[in-house]
Amino acid sequence: MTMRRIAWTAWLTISMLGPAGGDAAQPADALFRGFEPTGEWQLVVQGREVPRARIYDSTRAQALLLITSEFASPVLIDRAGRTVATLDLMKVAERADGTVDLLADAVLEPAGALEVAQTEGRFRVGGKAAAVRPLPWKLGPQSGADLLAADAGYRWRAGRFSPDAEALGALRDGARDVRVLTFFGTWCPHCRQHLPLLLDVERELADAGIRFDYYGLPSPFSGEPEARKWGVTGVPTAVVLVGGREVGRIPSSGWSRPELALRDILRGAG
Amino acid sequence: MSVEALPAAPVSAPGPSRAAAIVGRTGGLFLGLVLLVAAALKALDPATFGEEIVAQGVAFGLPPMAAALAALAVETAIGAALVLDLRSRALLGCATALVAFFLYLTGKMAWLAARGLADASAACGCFGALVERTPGQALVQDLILLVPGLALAWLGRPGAGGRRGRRWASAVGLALVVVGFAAAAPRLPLDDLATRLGPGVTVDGLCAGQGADRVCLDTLVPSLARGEHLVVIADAAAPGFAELAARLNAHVRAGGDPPATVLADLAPGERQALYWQIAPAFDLHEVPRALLRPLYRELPRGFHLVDGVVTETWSGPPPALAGEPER
Repeated sequence: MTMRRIAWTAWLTISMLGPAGGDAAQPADALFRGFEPTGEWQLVVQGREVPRARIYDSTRAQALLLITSEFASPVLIDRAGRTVATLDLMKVAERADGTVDLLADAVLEPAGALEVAQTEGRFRVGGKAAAVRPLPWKLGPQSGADLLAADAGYRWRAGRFSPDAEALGALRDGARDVRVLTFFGTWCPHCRQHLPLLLDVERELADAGIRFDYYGLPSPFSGEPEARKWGVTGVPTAVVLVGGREVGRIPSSGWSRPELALRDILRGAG
Repeated sequence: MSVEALPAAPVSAPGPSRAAAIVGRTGGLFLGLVLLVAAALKALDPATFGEEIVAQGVAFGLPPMAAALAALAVETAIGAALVLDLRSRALLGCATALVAFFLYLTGKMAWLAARGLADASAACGCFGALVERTPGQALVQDLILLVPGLALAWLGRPGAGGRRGRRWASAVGLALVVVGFAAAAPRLPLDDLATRLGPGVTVDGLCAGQGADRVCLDTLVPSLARGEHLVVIADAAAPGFAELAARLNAHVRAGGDPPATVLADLAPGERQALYWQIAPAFDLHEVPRALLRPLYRELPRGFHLVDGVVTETWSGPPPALAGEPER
């Protein structure tokens, strides 16, 4: 018996015997803690997209947690075991940092098997056919507010980022007629990692004289007219313009602190 | 008083001037050393060299390893002959052809790159052509390193004689030694020597690309800059990857200390397919081939990191992963 099966069996046994922790809800097995919000996937139920579904991912647990009104209860997808289970919504606890845990007394009700087809997982819950598949690419001009609104993963990462206050102050005070045009790909993992940081900087600089524009590219993007026009060779690429003239680009090494890179570029531009 | 007739001096063609001979000898020596150093470096990792030959379309139907060994033999023999001052018209003709061939290859790449036609790093599609030197720089470097030496080597060529047979035997012998070494190199523990990855290297120094496009490992995988990690560079498309992934999953599920991270050059969509197919419990990061390729001779290759510094490397996955996979 594998370690994972032992964990699940133990969990189910404990669940059947009743809550182990009395009234105080305790996190279950460490494997089922810290599910992170993700915007990389979309839920499709009965052929219809469910954009409001909340999807959480745990790499360590090899599991996805789906919370949507399309199903009577949350759905836990065990990617490794290729099984699907449901559980009581009251046994899902959201933490202050936006991650969620499954409580120790949660009962997992087996709901069927997971079928894997290329880049998506398919299953049935409550008689409904469902699939989790990659979110379609966002292409063309985008606004930061729309990107944040549409992607839980972006929102979560942006919320965890704390831009340098001094750099933000300098940008608020010194930026005039500045435009930051960022090329990105929703398919690019490095954009998923870094773009939310710039989105958070934009949110912090809402009152500054800096306009942030975003442009989603396909993969590959070498033939895309805007990418060619701006000489984009990799994503994310942020072009910084002052008075319509390009004064610099955030270097790859600057994406972990985009506010510092932006401040330095604008300082250099005088 | 009679003057005794002096014996006539033997008639011969005028030899090269001493200055021309020295200049020619120096040029030949310089070009020969450049070729020998280049051959020695490539002999450490003939598989990679063979891949490049095939990618350039100049393998002439040979398998990559055979093409690499043949090229090393030619380069070493010519380099050694030049160092040994065997500057016959035939040898310099061969050296000229070799240099012209190198310039053709780098010139072709520079031409393609200038028109945006050079192959970009595939990886996840996020990056452009990440290279340590641009095709244009490569062409300039080749011109500087090869052409002056070659041009000078034609000056003041020595005449026939002077143990040429022995010197030719030495050049051919050295070529055979290099070929033999290259053939054995993949089985020799030379990874740290032949690649950029070895103990003491830091993740912020593992980079690819130039200018604003330059990316380093600590930017792509910030978590590696802190704490302790077991890292595996792997080919996710290789037949053995599923088994490696199962071992890594077992490592993580067993507590996974230090945590395991896999770096792989993945095509767009491949990570999402792996997400379902192998259900990685470990961190799987996409890193462009341009950054990864100089770090290994064969995959998988493992290394241990402490606070962003490589402390140990392995040819293969880290031994700490040894054990039965869970599934």
